[in-house]
Amino acid sequence: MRIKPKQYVLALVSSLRGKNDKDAKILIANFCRLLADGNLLYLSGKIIEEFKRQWDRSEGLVNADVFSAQELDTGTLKNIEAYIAGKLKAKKVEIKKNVNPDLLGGVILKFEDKVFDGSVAASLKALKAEMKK
Amino acid sequence: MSNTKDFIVEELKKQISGFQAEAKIETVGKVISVGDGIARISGLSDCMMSEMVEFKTAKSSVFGVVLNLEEDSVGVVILGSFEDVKEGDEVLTTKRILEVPVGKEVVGRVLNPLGEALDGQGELGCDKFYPIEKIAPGVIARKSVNQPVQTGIKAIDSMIPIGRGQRELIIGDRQIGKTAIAVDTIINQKGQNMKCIYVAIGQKKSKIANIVGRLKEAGAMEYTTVVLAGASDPASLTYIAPYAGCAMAEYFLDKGEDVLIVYDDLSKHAVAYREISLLLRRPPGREAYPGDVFYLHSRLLERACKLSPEFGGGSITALPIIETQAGDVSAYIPTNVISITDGQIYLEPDLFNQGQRPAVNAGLSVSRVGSAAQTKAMKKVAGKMRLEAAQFRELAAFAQFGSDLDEETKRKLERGKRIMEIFKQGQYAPVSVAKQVVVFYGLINGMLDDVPVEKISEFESGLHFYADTNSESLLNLIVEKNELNDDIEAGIKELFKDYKNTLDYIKK
Repeated sequence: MRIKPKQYVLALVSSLRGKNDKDAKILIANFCRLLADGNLLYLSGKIIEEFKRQWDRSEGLVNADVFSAQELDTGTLKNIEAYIAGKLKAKKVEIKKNVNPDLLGGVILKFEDKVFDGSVAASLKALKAEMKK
Repeated sequence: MSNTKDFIVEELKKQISGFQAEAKIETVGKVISVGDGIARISGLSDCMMSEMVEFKTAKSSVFGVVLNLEEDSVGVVILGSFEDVKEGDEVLTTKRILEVPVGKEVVGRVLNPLGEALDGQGELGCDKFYPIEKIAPGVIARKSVNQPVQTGIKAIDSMIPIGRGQRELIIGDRQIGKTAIAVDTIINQKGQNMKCIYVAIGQKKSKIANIVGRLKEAGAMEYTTVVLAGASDPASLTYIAPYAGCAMAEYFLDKGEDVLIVYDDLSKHAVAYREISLLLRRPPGREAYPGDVFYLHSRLLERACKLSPEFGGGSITALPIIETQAGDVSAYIPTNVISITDGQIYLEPDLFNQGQRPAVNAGLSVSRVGSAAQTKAMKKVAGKMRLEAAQFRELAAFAQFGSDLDEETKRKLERGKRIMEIFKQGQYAPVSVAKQVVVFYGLINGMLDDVPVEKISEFESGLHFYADTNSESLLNLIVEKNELNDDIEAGIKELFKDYKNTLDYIKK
């Protein structure tokens, strides 16, 4: 049975939990040797990608993109953070701010594979479609 | 004038204030890879099997249907043109299982498998949708067949009768008249209280244009729907076409109506499914078909049924068509479909080349349940004829060796030749049940024995004409009574006698 990159990553994440930097270094070196012995270093790209995702998940960290027409104030950002954290039961939300004047107003939130489109541009588009009917 | 202006402005204001743009969370995936009509998509964590998904391409949006749910990706077939779909495009879930518009609006139309009009007669305007995949009715809801489907083809109505709710396979090589049988059957359903659906799967569009033209000419488009997945359409549309056609049929079934559905042909359907399966990297099996190719057809044909009166009493009669390669009925798909259906009509190249058309091989063709649905009159005459036809086949091979035959054998051979001659029938020329009964009655009672074999077809068409003009009441009586009583038998004998008197080539 072939072991998938994800399974390696899950093993690595769970063994790294609660270790200090020095122990972690040894652990990672061992892990790399294991991959090398198994001729699996070609998987390293995938493993690193997957590791980022799994580590964030185990830490309860969510990355979110926020698009808005203007720079948002901290109060709004806090609200958005709380909203996403509530939705995904995450401990921490890392927000990346993007400004796009084409939205006219409102915000678009993107987190994991979900999109919340609360922009004025989208509402206008929906109104246009409704009027056409 | 100003009144109307104010009114319009007010109405606009009302509409806009009443409009509430609802922002809701949507699930979005990204296209990882795309090729040959198949896309692999990441994300879409909560998407369902056979759910419709929407690809947001740069130009427009196109729909796809989910066929594979994997650990970290989703396999989707794209329904339509996939040229615009690029890697990284957004894909939205729709929370709708793939469905087609149904309703009486589809009658008389030519549609693609998604229910979009192809005949240039505008949109359908159906407000009802049925999912294309549905579990077939169960044991309790069903009833055995008890009403005939009149194909109007003498060889079939007499020897291989089809009942409403039956699944009868039409199988044979290319260019042998499989579609002709199906189209003739559709034409003959006029006034029989039957809706027809012709599903063209991977067919040439020129051929379909031809068929639609023929159906229109015969007035058959009034009760017929054509679902077309052409040879140039992607495999995904070819794959869903029969299911879409069946969903449209189920609408009428639920209303308690009788439907005839022709799948032309399921070999191409299996090929399209093989293409999709291989592109989705499902493991290939025999002839490179995937492991579930049996289920592919069994779940489709199982939806043909006759419902009991408590469940509406409707029926779906299915006529699937299979094309064989060089008469090989033991290939994978033909054996599968033969075992699923309630019998088959086997068309043979040798018979076709001998001029026996329709080239129905009476020995290999069977109808496992249809005889229960035959009318009494037909059952009475056809039973004896089937026996005589079988005896003739046996003797014909044997008689080639010797010329010295006893009287009985000679008589059987002569009778058999006339039966074979009677079974010959032109295309688009269905014969009504009553006329079939008259001819068959005459045949088995020796009234055609004095007609030369080469004159049989002339004699028969003359007889039909004579019966139409002189004894319409007799034909009506046969249909009405549905059985042969003494009066009818005497009437038929009388008809033959009178008709023969008008002919000069019969020795008196």
